[in-house]
Amino acid sequence: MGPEDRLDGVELRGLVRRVPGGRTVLDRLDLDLPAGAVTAVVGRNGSGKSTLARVVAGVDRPDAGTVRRPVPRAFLLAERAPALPRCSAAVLTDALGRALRGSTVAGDGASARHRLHEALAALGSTHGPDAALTRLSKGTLQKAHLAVAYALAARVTVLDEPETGLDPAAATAAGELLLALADSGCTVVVTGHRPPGAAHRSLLLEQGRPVQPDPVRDHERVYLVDVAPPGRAAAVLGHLGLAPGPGPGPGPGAMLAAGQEQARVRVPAAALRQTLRAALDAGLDVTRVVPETEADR
Amino acid sequence: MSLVGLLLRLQLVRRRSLAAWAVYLTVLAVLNAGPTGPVQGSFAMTGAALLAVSTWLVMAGTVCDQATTSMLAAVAGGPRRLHLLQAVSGLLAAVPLVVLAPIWDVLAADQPELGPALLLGVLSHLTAALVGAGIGTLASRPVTRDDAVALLVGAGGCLLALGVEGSSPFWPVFAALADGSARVTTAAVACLGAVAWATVLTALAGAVAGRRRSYGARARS
Repeated sequence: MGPEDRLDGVELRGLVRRVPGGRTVLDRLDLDLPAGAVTAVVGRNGSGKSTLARVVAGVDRPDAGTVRRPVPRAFLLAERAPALPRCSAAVLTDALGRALRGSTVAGDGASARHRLHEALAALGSTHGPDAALTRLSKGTLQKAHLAVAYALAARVTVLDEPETGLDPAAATAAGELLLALADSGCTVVVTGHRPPGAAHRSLLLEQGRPVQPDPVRDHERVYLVDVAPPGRAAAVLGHLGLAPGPGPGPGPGAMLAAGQEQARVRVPAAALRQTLRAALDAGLDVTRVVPETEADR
Repeated sequence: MSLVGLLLRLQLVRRRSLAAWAVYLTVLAVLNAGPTGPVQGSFAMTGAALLAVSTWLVMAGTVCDQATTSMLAAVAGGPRRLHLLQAVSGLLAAVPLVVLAPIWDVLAADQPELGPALLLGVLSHLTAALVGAGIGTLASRPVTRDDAVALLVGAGGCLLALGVEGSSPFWPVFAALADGSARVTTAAVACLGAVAWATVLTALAGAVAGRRRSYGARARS
């Protein structure tokens, strides 16, 4: 799907949302969430991320202001992925896919099932599409719902803290799936406490107001990756061109420090997947993947 | 499977729905245990019980956990539509009872003419189920958010529909069945009235659900 086919996004104007007690959670928010892009809404606890997600998805009504969506229906994955009884990812995809007909960019049911398989495999899920959701662990349940979101390809897809419970490799794969959704023309909104692994735009929310526009575009972002054991990490990642130094330089990144328990590697977004794959294939433990902040530099 | 199918599936595995069916089957068994008398008298009793049970089923079918409700409301196109779909799934859950009750009543009463009696039974029980479903939509979240108030609205609505003349489309059928003078035409007209009743109450409940500012959340808006 080319850029000329892309759909209109979601438009929020003068959005105000208060909670019981009168606290204003979203304060005169003006925001454009374009189609064909992943927009990350980042903020601390209580900054209004989840409320914004529910308003964008059409579940909550604002106290004032307007919300314009290209379609009336949306997909919303709440902060705690629901384990619906006697349901599997396949059942959910089938039922929600029918309800979302006309509000997705995906094809027929067979196409959605194919996409579901594809996404579960990409996320490294240990359970198939027919596994009962109630039997899944927290991380696997999250993977199942993310796979459903990818399979449905709703024009407006909203995911509240989608990386919750995911290991670093799965979080990277989830980011790639969301980028692929956006590429197909969807408006994708994700929330989180930190910028996610993959996003076209980031919005920092503080007390219901955006405090700075788009601080770092994803392709410019650098990640800090902690890998153990440090000795083998240096050997394995050295083959990728990771050299000691402040990096990232001409190679994929730099080995910042190798302590007794783990090595810290500084990797630009473009080389993150390759680095994680090499580390995991070599049997290394990837204990942390976080975007580098000003404070880290 | 459609969204109504998914809601019905969720309802079928919920203990509160199973309890409603179990209670109604017990009522049927008790009422038809001994000599039952005229079948219309049985229809009146089992129909009245079905009115309450269909209210219960609609209330029980409402999804309460916020994560599931949020997902379903977004996919349904908003809280109003989700509330309507939940009412439909609750009513569908009562349909087997609409058929089962008259059959049980007719067989227990040893009725000589099965066809007209069954038709009268099905129409009167369908009327009861529709009236009960309408009350259920008003007594469910998020229209009524407090459990105690929901119980009062549900029980009060059922008592009103059964006990006060002209208060619901089921009342004239109930009165006619109780004195043995009910006709198929009376029940058919009442059934049409019950369709309108359920539609109006469900639309009203849906409008209230759509105006709630925090659908699915336990917090008051």
